Amino acid sequence: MEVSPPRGKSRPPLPSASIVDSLPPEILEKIVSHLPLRDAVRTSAISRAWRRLWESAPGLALEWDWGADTDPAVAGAVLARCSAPVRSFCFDLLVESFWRSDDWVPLLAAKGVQILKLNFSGGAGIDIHYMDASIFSCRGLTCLHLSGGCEIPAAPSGLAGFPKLTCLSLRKVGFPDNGVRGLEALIAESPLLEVLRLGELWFTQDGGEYDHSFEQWTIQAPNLRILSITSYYYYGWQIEELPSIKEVEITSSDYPTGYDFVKLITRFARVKELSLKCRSCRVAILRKLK
Amino acid sequence: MASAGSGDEKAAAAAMITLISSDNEKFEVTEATATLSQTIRHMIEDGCTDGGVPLPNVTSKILARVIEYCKKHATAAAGEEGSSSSFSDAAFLEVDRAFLEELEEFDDAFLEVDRATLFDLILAANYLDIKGLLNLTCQKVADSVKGKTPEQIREMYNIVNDLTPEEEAEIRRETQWAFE
Repeated sequence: MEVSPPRGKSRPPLPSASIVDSLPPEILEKIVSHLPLRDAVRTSAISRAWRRLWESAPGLALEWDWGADTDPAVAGAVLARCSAPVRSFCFDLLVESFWRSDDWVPLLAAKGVQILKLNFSGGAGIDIHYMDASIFSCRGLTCLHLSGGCEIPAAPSGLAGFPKLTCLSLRKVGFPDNGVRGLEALIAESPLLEVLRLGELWFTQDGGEYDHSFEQWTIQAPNLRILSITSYYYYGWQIEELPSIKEVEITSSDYPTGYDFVKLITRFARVKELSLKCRSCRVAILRKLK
Repeated sequence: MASAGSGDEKAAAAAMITLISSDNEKFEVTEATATLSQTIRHMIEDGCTDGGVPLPNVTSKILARVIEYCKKHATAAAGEEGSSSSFSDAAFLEVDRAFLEELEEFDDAFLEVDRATLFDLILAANYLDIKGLLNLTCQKVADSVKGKTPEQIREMYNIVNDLTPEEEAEIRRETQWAFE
């Protein structure tokens, strides 16, 4: 059937023979929430009944392609219009718009965001973004991915980890306030964690210099299946019991003298795939393993 | 399906429930199948399923399909529970994977229905509160409009455009990025 001509402004929506219009609004919202963001927003131009559906669609995925150079004002406007809980939020920020994340994160916390991926593109030197502590208010997070050049502040008391987090990926992320202890608590207080990827992290000890002599700290994650650490420097990680571990990949070059690799490897006795890369000390490990 | 568990659980799994469609057809299903519906689960918990559960919003044609879905997925749920205790066992993981693939194939075949049936299934899944089925069927409709323009969607589903040209222009202006 052809689309009928537009009606006058004052007329209410006409009853239509459309099969979709027989569905109650909450189901139409559900259908919209299964759409990628662009498609979901485009449904607003279908008819009056559809006009604001995407705004109240529960669990919408607010995802913008990385490297797409999206105007962050667009993401802000979408976020402001979403009245329902948000399933995910993924955005690639450029240096001049890093600050926008400070507006977004509290809103996302209030909307119960489950998956949060933020890339602070090219953050380095003075352009590293010190994140708002509201990140710790996102209590519904199941997956957190931060990368590019940002710093995680000290957690408010009692909120160091995330009760539902299963996947944590941090690349080029700093812990300026509480160093390795902040990371240790973040992992330990996220008891459902299954996947942990750490790459190129930095820490400040005692609020002073960035240095590379670290206190020992322990990765405690009873449900961890996949562990990946990529770092030039060894920053003191210790591994105790990881009863669920399946895959491990650790690439690091600068272990301290006398580091006990045998102990490290025995922790991974049940691992299916193990990759340890270490340029400076390969010979030493092999000798000890014999 | 009668996997591990105490005698009580086995008895519960074998308990039968009668569902009665709007056109008065009776369907005997196991409790495990019926309780995929949260609506029916609550009725069982409240002890009001004696003499059958009338479902005045669901026709026999649709109810038969819904039961087919629930039977398959109840078996899947039982399988998951059975294997969780032996999570570390690679053989069980292989079985799970094969079963999940089979389940996906079942779902795909299940969705091969005409549009009217699909919408009836959505309404039934919503009324019976069967989360998996509601997601599956809503996803199917979503897939059908993905990548389409508003004009194409209207045409596809015979939706009347009751927006004024000014309103439509305004919508496109304020979310221009979505229409590019």
